[in-house]
Amino acid sequence: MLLQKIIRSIFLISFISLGFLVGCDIIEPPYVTEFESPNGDHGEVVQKVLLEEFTGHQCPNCPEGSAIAAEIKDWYGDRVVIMSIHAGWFARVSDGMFSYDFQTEEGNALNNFFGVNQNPIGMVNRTPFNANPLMGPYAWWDAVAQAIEQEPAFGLELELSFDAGSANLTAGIDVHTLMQSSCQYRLSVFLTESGIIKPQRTNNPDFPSGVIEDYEHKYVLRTSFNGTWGEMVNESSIKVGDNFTFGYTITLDQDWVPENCSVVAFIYHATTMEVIQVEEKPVTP
Amino acid sequence: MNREYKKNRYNKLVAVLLFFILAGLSFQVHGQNLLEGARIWGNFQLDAQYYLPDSVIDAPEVPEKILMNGFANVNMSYRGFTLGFRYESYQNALLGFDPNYNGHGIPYRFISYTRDNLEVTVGNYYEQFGSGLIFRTYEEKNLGIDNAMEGFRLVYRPVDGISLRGIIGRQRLFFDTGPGIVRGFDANVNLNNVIPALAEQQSRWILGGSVISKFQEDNNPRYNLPENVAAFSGRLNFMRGPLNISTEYAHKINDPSAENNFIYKDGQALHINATYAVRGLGFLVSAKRIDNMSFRSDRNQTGNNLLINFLPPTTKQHLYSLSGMYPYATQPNGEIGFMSELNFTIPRETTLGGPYGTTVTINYSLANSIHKERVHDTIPISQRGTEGYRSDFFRLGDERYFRDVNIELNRRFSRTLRGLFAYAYIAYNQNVIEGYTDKEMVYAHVLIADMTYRLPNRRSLRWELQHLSTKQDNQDWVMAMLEYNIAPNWFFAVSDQYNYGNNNKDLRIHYYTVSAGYTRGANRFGLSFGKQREGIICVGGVCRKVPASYGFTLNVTSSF
Amino acid sequence: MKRSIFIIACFILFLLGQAEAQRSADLPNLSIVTLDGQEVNASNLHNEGKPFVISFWATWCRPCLQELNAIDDIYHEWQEYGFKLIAVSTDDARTRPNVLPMVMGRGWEYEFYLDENGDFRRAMGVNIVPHTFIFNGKGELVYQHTSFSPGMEWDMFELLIELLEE
Repeated sequence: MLLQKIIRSIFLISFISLGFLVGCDIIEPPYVTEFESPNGDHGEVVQKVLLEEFTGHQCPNCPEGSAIAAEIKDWYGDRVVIMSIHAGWFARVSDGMFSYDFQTEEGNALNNFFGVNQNPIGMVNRTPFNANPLMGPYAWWDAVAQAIEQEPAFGLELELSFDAGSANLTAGIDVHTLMQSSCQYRLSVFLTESGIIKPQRTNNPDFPSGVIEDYEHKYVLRTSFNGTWGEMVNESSIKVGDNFTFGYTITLDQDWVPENCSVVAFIYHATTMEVIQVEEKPVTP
Repeated sequence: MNREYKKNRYNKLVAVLLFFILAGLSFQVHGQNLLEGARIWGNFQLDAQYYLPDSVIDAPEVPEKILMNGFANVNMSYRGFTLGFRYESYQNALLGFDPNYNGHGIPYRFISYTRDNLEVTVGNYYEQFGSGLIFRTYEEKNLGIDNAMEGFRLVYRPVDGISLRGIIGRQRLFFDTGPGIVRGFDANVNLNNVIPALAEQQSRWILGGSVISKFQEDNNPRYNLPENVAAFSGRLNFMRGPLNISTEYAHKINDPSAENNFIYKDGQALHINATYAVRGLGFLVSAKRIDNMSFRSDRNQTGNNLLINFLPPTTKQHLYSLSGMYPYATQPNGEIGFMSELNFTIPRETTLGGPYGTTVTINYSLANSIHKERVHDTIPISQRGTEGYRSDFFRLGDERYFRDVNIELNRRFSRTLRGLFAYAYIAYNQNVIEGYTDKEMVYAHVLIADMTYRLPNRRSLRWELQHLSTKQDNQDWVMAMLEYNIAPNWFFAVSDQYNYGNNNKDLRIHYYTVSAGYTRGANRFGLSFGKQREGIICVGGVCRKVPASYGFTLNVTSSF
Repeated sequence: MKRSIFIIACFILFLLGQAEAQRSADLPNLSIVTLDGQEVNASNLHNEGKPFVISFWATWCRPCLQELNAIDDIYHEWQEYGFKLIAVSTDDARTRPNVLPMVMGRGWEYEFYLDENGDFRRAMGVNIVPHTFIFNGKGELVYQHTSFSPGMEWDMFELLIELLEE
């Protein structure tokens, strides 16, 4: 029975020591590190990260989500590409103030596919973070920090030409590979627009009416160049130095301001859906 | 992701095998009859619904048509030694449950051992320190809540009247565990048992204290986040004759989280209950203040996920569908609540009490915001990355969250007839409680009558009549229900909730249900057909939003 | 790695368990709390050699109150035979403070316990309340049922009398 006595003493000791081992990190101000200058131009290929934000103009918590996305963008500069997807219940159109329709066919398809059931919520590179690719705004920070550390596997170059007369926008995309792989990848190309001034619901107490009437909607998904799920890049395995070229033309809606539009192109894994590389370029230089 | 999934499957397989190996081994070692000395028990539940779309009540088209939640618990105990597991399956999760549950697995398995004064659990377990202000893990399948710990727990009772608990582990998140580690310690001391001088005293004192600390990595480049967050609580329970006072205070250090908008303020909670009870009369007063007390093992989570503590609302939980239409939910970022309840019986064979006596319950509760002021002129309240706000502990905030005054009479009229009559006046801040910005405060009056009439041969008839009137939200409702019981096996019921007063004539909808059930011992089958209005169901202290639905529902539960 | 620690721990516990003396079979060895805060081991629940009933209930559960009211109406008859009802409240921290005023205010004379975090409930396989267990004088579980409809208090009474005569 000596064994049992020893075991019991160990239990008791570990028990009591538990009480002293309690961790407690008291943080003193400043709580926030001030912005350094964001990472600017890079000669070689750098890993960029796609942040897809599911939002809606009738979602009172969403301005807070967009503010966090903006903070992340400020921090990382052009290494973070944001796409705001207006879809679901909170993006619905109502009579009166919320009569403008931000929804798109592609946005609704993404919303349904990824099972979005609350807003604001988002995906970083469509990659699971704590088991789920969908996560609340504060987790975007952690997920972006993790995703941006990856070695780039693809380089993407965008060549845009816009004809103001016909409103035709042609996008040429060069994909070159920096690794070898037997997986299949797809290319998606979307158009986003910023600077859209339309009402937005808010829970910010500075707006007692609950609505910001002149809210600036940024990075709004407008349309796709090659459908919701894009086009297959490679049918068979790839090796370092392979090149693929794609070209698409769309016509911009009269409603859209070309100066505020950008083209977002990204490569994603055809089965896991995870985004591998992303690039963004404004329509007018 | 794929590899991770396979690894999980493998782990589950190991857990199941382990269970059977151990079970088998224990029988072999002793060469005894298979069931001698061992106790095996468990239960099973299946809820399935066949959904029909209905655009008027907003019942969505469900692509799968049929959705199902189910689980089975299997446990065995043998010589101070207990082990068990739960298989859960969601094919796919019923509407209103988080679709992250979709799939199946064995998220709960444990083995525990009790000997003399020591109890050890490895694997999954549920535990609560004090009233749960800083730590409670529990499951409520009907709400889709399960934040079970996975790790170790020790309970040690060195002498009569003292119990010590230590826990460490991670919490369940759907079919996985969360990223944070939770560690804690609790001591509970019954002073009358421990101090000889108090042993014979009439006054009884129970003291307790706990500490919980969670660890989660900080990978945020901008915010300087605490990786270890601790919370402390102390409690005292005093009893003397009919008087019983219990109080608990909790303090949590800086814990910026998605729920509190990344503010660095400390959290506080105070809860006081006082009761005075003698036979025939019971009186309760309870008060509570909560300030920034959301506590999770993942700072990025919201909803019901990975909650470490439990902050129940101090309001009455109503028993009927219309009085329960506007249930209060605790506001973890700040609220002050108060409740008082009086229960008494008017004795039998008096004018008021009638031949069999009448019981009366009167209840009043309120909840308000806490007082908040800016830490600095330039910083808005709850601005992320700041102290957040300052709050005067004893000042009630201006915003009303909830009011409820209700009275309930329960009277037996004769050998065959029993009735319950209730009235409630409820004021409900829909914006705060349900997260809207553009809704009005709801003021509702509810009247309820519930009569049970006993027929010969253990048959009975029960009917309910309920009415809710309000000028806000969906305006007036009436509800009627008729239930026929054949004890102990059968019941049949029809009910209808009619939103007859809705300002929008197209939404004056009948939500009817036809249902039948069969119970035999601990097995129960229920089948119903009808329309379910969008609403909130509550079990214990927590509520879940259920979407409108239309169709057939099957429930099976069984215990063994 | 984590799993192998789990397995090893299981075996250590298992071996320790071999030395444990046998306890009463149908009630679990865990602590529940009386209305005045005393911890009691559930495996010690008994009725001095006479049959008894354990009923799991909650203040917010309408059929549970119906059951406790119905038994209360005939409880003096039960008591003449020496039968006892042990009512275990599954109320959590929200409604637990209401338990004492409710049971005293209604004048119920059962033996009450609190099972605030559901340990006893889980250890008895209780899924929904009300869930009632009937034990014979030796403390062996003989019958259980869920839900309540009027008249079942008489079924229970008859079964208890049968058990007494055994």
